[in-house]
Amino acid sequence: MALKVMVKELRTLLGDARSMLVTFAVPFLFRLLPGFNGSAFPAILIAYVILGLFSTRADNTSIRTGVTQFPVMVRDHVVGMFLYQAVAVLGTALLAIAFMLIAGPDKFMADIVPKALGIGLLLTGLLTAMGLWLRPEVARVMSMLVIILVLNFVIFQSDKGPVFLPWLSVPAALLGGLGGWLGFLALGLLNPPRL
Amino acid sequence: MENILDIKNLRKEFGGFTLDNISFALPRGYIMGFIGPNGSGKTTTLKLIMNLMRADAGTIEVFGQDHIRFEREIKQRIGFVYDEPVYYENLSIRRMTGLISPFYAKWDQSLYEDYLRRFELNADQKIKTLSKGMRTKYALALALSHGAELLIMDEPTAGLDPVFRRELLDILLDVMQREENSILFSTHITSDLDRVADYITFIDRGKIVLSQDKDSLYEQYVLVKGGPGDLTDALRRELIGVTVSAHGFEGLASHPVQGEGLLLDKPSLEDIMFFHTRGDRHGA
Repeated sequence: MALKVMVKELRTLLGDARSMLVTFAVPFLFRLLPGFNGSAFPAILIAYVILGLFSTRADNTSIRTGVTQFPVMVRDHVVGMFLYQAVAVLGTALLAIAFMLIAGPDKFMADIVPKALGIGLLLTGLLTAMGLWLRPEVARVMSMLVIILVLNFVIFQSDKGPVFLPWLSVPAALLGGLGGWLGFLALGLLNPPRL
Repeated sequence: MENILDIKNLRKEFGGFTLDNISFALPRGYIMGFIGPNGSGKTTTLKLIMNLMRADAGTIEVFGQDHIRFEREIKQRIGFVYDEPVYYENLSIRRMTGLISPFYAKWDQSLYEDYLRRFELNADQKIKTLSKGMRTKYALALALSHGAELLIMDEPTAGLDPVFRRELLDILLDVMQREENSILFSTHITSDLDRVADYITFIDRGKIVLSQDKDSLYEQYVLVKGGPGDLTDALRRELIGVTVSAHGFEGLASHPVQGEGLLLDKPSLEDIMFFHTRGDRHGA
């Protein structure tokens, strides 16, 4: 049933042209702005998409609809939402890779996509968990603050060297991200939202 | 008689409110009105049935199965209509239904389309443009299109105009005539239930006041009216609640009472609810 919830959320996203445009196309427009068009752009893309996904789908109103209008357990909804967010981040990483191949991989920092994916998984776990527990307005503000911090951090990494976050290895980023995502999922299941 | 819903000794304490020792049962094929003033615990009880909240104690069986252990199976056989149904507001009815229907094993698309036509709902209309009445109709169309055997309705008529309320009640009666469904209908508008309910469960301040079939309720309770001098202390003790004015008094008794000059009448559900909840204060 959790897989059905994930598919439902993906279908909702893919079927909403406005959300798709705002979530996936706007970051490419940002490339016209200084700071966003640097060698760390793939990481900016992933961070922005996480914010876009969170602000459209993963708040408490969406949870209310998810568990009251669909014949699912709260647990199914929690797992489905985490899976949906993770799949969307993975899809964005693939989009970033495709963009890098088209634009020329040399223009971007090395290891940027797998490391941004690892950090993105951790972030999406954190934001999804916040969406489960916090009031919608609070969760939105908190998620925006977190993503703005991350975006700033990523923008300042642009052109700092040939490798993105050289002090972090790719396996550590991916395993850490996955571990963090699983940790937040476990917390979400242990403390599911009650309506 | 098989019970489709059986609640025993349910207890939930939160935020200064206690739902205390709630027990009642709904037999298959009947409509139960679940009445009580605002804040009496109706919605909390329904949320507990739907496992949207965890009870501190007690058991809930739906279709003879534990409502937590068999939650998924049970929800396939329940239709739920909320006071304020929440959907994905930017979607059209068609797209919202397209998301919901795959979750139900017994979804009947042609039946659903029949209900849309009957309720005069346009499948291409955006959810956010639906009025309260249209939302309730849409929720009902969804609830009736997956073979639900039990409909749970939380204040479905609240905020609706009398014409639509009547239409909704006619739809429910029609559904009951055609199928072996059961309905738990929570409301504080008791006049809705005078027409449709077979059983009444009355909750006040988190406690069940009564739960019995409607006909025996009407037979049991008596509305007593009299002049200013007719309300003796002995009579007052026999009344569940009483209101006194300069012109006389009106009270509710749970058994026939006798007295000179008294007028006995059949109470409405509203009378029964009123005198149980507020009568004491007025009569004091």
